Amino acid sequence: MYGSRDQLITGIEELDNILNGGIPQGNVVLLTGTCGTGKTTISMEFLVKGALRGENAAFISVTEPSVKLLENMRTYEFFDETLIDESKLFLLDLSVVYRKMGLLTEDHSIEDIDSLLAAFNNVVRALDIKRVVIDSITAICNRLKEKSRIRDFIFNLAKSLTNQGATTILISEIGASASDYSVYGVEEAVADGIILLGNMERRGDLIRTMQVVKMRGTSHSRAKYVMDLTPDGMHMVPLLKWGTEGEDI
Amino acid sequence: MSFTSDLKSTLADLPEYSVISMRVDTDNYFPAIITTLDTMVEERDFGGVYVASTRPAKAILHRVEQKKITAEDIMFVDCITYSIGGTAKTTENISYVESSTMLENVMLKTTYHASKLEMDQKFVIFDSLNSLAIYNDSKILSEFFHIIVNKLRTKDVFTIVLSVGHDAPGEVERLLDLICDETLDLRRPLKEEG
Repeated sequence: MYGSRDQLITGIEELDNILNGGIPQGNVVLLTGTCGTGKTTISMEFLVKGALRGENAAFISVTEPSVKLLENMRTYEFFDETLIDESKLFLLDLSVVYRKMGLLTEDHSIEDIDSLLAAFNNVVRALDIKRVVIDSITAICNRLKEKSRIRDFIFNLAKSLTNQGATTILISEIGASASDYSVYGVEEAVADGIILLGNMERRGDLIRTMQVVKMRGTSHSRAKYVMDLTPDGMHMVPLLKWGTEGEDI
Repeated sequence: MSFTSDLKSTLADLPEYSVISMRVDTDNYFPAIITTLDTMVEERDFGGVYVASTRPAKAILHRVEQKKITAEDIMFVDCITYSIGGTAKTTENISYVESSTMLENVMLKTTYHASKLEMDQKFVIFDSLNSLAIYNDSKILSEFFHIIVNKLRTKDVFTIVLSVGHDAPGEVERLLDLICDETLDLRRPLKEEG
């Protein structure tokens, strides 16, 4: 039986149905998948829908400049740019943070990691952020090198964001042949939830899929769904049972 | 009474939220779809989604415009143009699914466009069971229709599944008999051989 943990409505109708009401508040969710599976779009929709509900939201971009992200997002009807002007939605470039902090090396020391964690905390506290997306945690982990550092970083990051009442999505990039949910195998162990995005090949056609593998604090569907990216956001239907013999790639 | 006037009066009398399995002879394919669109759009003031998997949406749209049916009230979901290597740029009237095997995407596009229609009364036409059966076996097609027909029913959408001639898979037609409110079998009886 599950207790009465408050759930954060993602605003993506089908995902909220799958999760039986949304993501339990304060959870750290690993959104993982290969390239082109819709990770950035689904997480941005999560932020925008939250900001529209009055929950301040931050997208921390590690892999691409926020200007480029903004350009891509303008093609979606759900993306409301006025939220940025109204200081409800924040797009932050981690490269700028790195520069300000003087973190210019490719290999972070333990002290660097502590500074980075402090920077995340300050941003979340100062801007009263309730929804955070980090795109991608894989790119940050690449600078941490050692598994123990990665584990400590993600564990401390998750703890501090949760303590501040933020619900977090960590985007994880995996290769097409990966059998794990993350590159380092650490991220998935620390996360409260795992949402797996994928591509399934059926008779030569590539179908976008989504599956909630784990979500602490709520009973949820674990079925595989097919996704479509429409101008007004993500839509999903269950994968047809007689069409599951395709190959996941 | 002619085929078209028969069909027109039958469609005009059907309740608002009907779910119909319509079966016609091959030579009545175009009269059936044009009469259905004309009745639903011009006489009953419905807006609709037309799932085109038999012929490209542009070809159907051309016929619709020739017959002066208000094309703005119809959104086409085209499942064939990609497969034949045609240009498939989404327009105001036409949205494309890459392949007829991507039945979930057909579902997503159909329900999405039905929800976007401004009219209170909406219809969806699947044209046709036969052409979808070229790319999908009976099991997955039955599952597809079972889900989409019931989903559209919960949204009060008038739904028509068209099959042509006597070659559509019997297993799927029997399922349609079960889940549809009515089977309109407008085919001439098969002549006994010998």
